[in-house]
Amino acid sequence: MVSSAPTAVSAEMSLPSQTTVAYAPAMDRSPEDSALMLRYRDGDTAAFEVLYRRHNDALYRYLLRLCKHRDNADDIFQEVWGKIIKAADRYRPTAKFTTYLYRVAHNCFIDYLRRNKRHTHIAQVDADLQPNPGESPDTLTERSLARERLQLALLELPDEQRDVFLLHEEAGLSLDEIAKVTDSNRETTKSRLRYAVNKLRVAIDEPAEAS
Amino acid sequence: MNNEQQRDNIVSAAYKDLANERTPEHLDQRVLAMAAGSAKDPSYSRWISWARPVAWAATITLCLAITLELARQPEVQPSVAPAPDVLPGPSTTGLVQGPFDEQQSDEARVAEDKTDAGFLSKDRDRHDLVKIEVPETAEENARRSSGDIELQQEVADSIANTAAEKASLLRSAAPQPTEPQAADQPAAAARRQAPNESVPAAPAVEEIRVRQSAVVASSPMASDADAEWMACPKERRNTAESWYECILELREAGEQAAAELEQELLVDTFPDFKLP
Repeated sequence: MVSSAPTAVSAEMSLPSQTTVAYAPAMDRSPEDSALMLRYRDGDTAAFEVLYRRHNDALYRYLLRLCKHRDNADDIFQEVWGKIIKAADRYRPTAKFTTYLYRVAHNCFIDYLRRNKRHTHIAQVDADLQPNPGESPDTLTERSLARERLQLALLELPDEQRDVFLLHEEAGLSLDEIAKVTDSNRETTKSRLRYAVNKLRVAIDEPAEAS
Repeated sequence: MNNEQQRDNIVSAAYKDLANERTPEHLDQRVLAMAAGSAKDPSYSRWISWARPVAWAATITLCLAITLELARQPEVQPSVAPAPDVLPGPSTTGLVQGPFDEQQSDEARVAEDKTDAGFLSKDRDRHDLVKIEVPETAEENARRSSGDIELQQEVADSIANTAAEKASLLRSAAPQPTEPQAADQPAAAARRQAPNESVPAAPAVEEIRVRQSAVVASSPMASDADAEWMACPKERRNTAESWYECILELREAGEQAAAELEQELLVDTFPDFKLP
């Protein structure tokens, strides 16, 4: 899992600013999200349900992989949506709803870290999120092995790099939008994302390199 | 698509394969219940959406109305002229000049504005009376220039009212009432009772005598006998020529004020008469 500096630099240069992935939420959905939020502000509960169903799973995975613990992820998940609901009266569609949602989630996670930084159980990783050590490598296919390595590498990433990678993959945010969510500049965000992707790529390619 | 992007896509695809967790159902139900509980009543929301603009409009309208009312108040305040009781005595020019010259009116207005600004609203009736008695300066000039007889007669009425009171006091001090003065009192009283009645363009001879005697009597140096002596008798006012002769006699006697007054009345009564 060694990434050389020239490789990182060349990877940074080649990273497009508006990279999207196939399974990420569509970028052109934001006006609809804003419209749904405005309808909910006016009392339309069904509009909120549509909005919630669009974003609930991605947000949940984002929080689950950030917190590394399912119970904490559940608590933060409820806290995030509670804040969105309470702030509906003051909601103004000045930015993408996705950016707004994940900014709230990011801040809730930061607060959660501050509240619980002395507790040791936070560092513990949920068993569901860890690769199964008892399973024999011979029974696993190459693809499932790659998944195990990726999951482990993701958990080992620094918090900032994991946060940027998850925002990019789960929320489908651009570098500029991630920079807004994390209160950092674009270059820092780009660098964090590049380092994260390189580490994960090395983790995926490890057996091939070893062979 | 270069090699780096291809590798990024591989990582993304691997993560997609990994990330298949879904939100637990109990969380979905809690969040949706929370949203339903916090949702506002749509009718209330509709009312609120109207209430705020209406409140703003009402506030702005009220502020504008108050501002306009405050801005309009100085214009409503009447231009103040000196009260009739502080007028000087009859001048030598008498009715020609008029009792309220422009300078006096301006000075009184400035003094009144300085000292009596807060009192104006309380004593609005008094100012209304003053406003009726004193025309605007522009109007006064216009009327003067056009030789408006009504204006002069109104001024003469106001002088006559005060002068008649003084004359009655003088008469009580010197008990020799003459016949015209006795006849003057009911006429003056009638004029005081009906000040707004229109005055005829050519006043009656008796009324002229009343005015003249009142003006002369208002002079502190004059007596009733002098006033009677200075006035042109009734029979000499029947024609313009005899009246003018009387005026000349007055001038020769040194009674310039009375002569001026008689001449003004002569011109008013006989506008076609050419003064020599």
